[in-house]
Amino acid sequence: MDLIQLSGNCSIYEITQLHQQIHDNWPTQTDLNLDVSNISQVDASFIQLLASCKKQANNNNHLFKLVNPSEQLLNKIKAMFLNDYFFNTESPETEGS
Amino acid sequence: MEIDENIQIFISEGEELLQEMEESLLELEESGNDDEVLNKIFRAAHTIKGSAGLFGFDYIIHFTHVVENVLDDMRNCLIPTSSELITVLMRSRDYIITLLDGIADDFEGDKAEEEELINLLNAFKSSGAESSVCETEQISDESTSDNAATDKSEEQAQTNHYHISLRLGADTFRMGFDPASMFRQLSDLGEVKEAVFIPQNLPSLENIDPEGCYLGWEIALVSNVKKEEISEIFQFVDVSQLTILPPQSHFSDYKHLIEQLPEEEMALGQILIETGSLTENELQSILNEQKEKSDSGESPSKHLTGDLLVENQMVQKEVVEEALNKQTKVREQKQKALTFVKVDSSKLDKLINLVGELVINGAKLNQITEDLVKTTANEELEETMEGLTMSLEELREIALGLRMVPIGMTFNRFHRVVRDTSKDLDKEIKLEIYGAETELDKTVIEKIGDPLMHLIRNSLDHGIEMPDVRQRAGKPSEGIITLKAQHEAGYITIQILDDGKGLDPVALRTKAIEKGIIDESKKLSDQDCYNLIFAAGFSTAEQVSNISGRGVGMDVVRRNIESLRGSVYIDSELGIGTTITIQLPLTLAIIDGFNVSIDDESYIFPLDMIHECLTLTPAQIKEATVQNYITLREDVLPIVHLKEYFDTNNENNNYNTTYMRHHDRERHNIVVVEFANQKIGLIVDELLGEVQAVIKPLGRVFKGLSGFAGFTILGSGMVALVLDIPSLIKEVVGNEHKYFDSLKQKSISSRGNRNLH
Repeated sequence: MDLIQLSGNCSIYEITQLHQQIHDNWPTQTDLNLDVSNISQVDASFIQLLASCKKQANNNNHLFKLVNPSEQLLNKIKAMFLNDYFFNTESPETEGS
Repeated sequence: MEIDENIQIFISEGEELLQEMEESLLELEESGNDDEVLNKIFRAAHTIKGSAGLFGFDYIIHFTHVVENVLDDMRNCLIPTSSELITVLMRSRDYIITLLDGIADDFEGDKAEEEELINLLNAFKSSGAESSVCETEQISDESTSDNAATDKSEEQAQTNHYHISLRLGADTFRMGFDPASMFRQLSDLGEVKEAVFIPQNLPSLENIDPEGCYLGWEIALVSNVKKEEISEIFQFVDVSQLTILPPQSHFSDYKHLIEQLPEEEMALGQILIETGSLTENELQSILNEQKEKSDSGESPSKHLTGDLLVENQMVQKEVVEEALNKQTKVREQKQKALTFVKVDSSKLDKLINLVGELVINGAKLNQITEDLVKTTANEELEETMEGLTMSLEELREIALGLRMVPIGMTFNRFHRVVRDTSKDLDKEIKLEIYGAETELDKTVIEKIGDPLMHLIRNSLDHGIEMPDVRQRAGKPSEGIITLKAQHEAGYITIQILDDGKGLDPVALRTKAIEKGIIDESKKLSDQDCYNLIFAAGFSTAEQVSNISGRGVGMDVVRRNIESLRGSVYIDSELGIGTTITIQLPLTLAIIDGFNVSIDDESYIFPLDMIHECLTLTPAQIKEATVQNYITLREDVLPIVHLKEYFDTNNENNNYNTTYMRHHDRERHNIVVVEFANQKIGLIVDELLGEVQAVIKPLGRVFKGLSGFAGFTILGSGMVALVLDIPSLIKEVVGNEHKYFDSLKQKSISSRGNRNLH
């Protein structure tokens, strides 16, 4: 399984870089597995980026998985009422949480 | 006490409001808890209380406040509408009228009565305060139908929350806004029941600007706060779209709030903002949208604010409609206030008197001008006089029109009389009104109220039977009294019809003989028997009640009607009902008349009652001489020689003889008059033409003289008597049975049976 590892702060200040990282490391025609175990600070822009990834994966009939999401990340997703979008749609995409 | 003009206006408006209140209370009793009617009643009390405050009438405020509280509880479904409550509210309304009437005399009301009423009102208040009438009704609805209950609960579930549709703007993140904090703030205002993420605008990874924001939600928020408070959360947020739709369950609240707004002209947006159903930002965005569309050349009528608000789901359609209704109502009231000017009726009376004098002097001037023109041939003078005459005629019409008011105002008061009296009598009686819009001179309307009251009370008491009696007779237990009004050739006809037991001519005759009103040997037609009711001291009621039955009313009724130059007739059918017909002149002041002469004396016919004028042919002269009637277009037309009639108005008069004494004239003019479907021809010497006649009452010396409605002064300065055609016809018919048999037959046959008793 190809795994893209994200780490450190994931906020508006790093978002362009993170976007580029995912874009560059996500081979076409594959599922997307994001290792988010080492991320620290997250904000809404990062959650939106994840949502965008999930949308693209869905559009291409690939899976989108968050691997080892931190409680902070999950709380942020929950606080933005995106639980259903990320976790209760066709594919439960977390692993290790 | 001299009353300030403003206080006078307060009293007059208060009385109007209380009249409306009475009508609405009766309507409420019929309809049960009708929000609209209740609000109308509440507003009446509220306005009176508020206006009383302006003038410092604390005692009026004190009492009206108690009434208002009860009405408010009724509106809030805490007190159910009941007949008993309506009765107390009616009494309270009467008491407020007493307070208003008492202002002039510094009378602050009967404190004992006030205390009793307050206790009664408070008793309703405390008994109903613990349970909601609406809740009870709802539970009852739910318990009676499972489906209804399901529907109701679904409706509640669907609508008991704010719906917020949010699309964040692209710069949201750059501005440092965190949507999670928005949800936290929403949670502080209530419960975020659901928030569905809308990913439609979210680009895929390849296309996204990661710093841009594409988030959006449809949020369900359960909250009791005002829409404005919710809106404030988004005040500093970059939003591309925000719609806050208040809960459906708040609709009635909004409706209530809209109704409570002051009666001031407000824009639609302002109404919605004031009631919290729209925010200023929302309104601004709609106004911007409107402007953009208008700038791009689209017709403004296609983008009305209300439509755009509904289209953009900012306000529910029902709320917009309610606000528009309010707007229309206020505009209409303003329009009405602008259109109508309240004038003291005594000023109108003075104006009409003055116009009367103008008409008389105008006629004199006309006469003088005619004489002058004959000798000087001054065309300019003649033309000026013609113009003046036309202006005077117009002025007269307008002046008289000012005093014309719809009779419905008088009619509507009888709803209460019928309600209260039928309750007292344990009868079920409904009042139906037709022709309430028919207009009549205010002075006539003021004087007809009492006679009508007597007649209606008589119908209630003697006419309509007890419910069980009616049922046994195969009638509905509820009786109907109908009041009808309609115009008819210069007269107004008012009818009081009941579907009661009808009059028994034999019983009436027997009673009249017992009471010594008529002699036993006297033969009477059905019509004559019915008319016995109008005889002084006559009463058929077995028991004298406090409603009627003392026999001191109907004779006064007839006198009052006749004093208005009117007449009253009764028609009845045993077991079917009774119809009382009153005919009154439209105005008592100035009429269009037709001047005729008899032996050089002038007489005025009311123009409206003239059917045609004829000159007798030799054959008709012969016929009239022998038979006292002529055949006119295959109909028999009774003929009266007016000169002889007035000269020898007694029972020994022989018309044939007197007529023959005068038939040697070569030419006979006949004025054919019509009233109540009866036509007679009146022979006069000369037809002099139309005049405007200011009717002046005849002095006391002429009291009892029938056949004349009054007198008028002609342009020549001569006095002319104005003929009272209805009484003339009646008098002639009554006195000359043989001579007018054909006329009488016609008159009676229209009312059915003409047996003699």
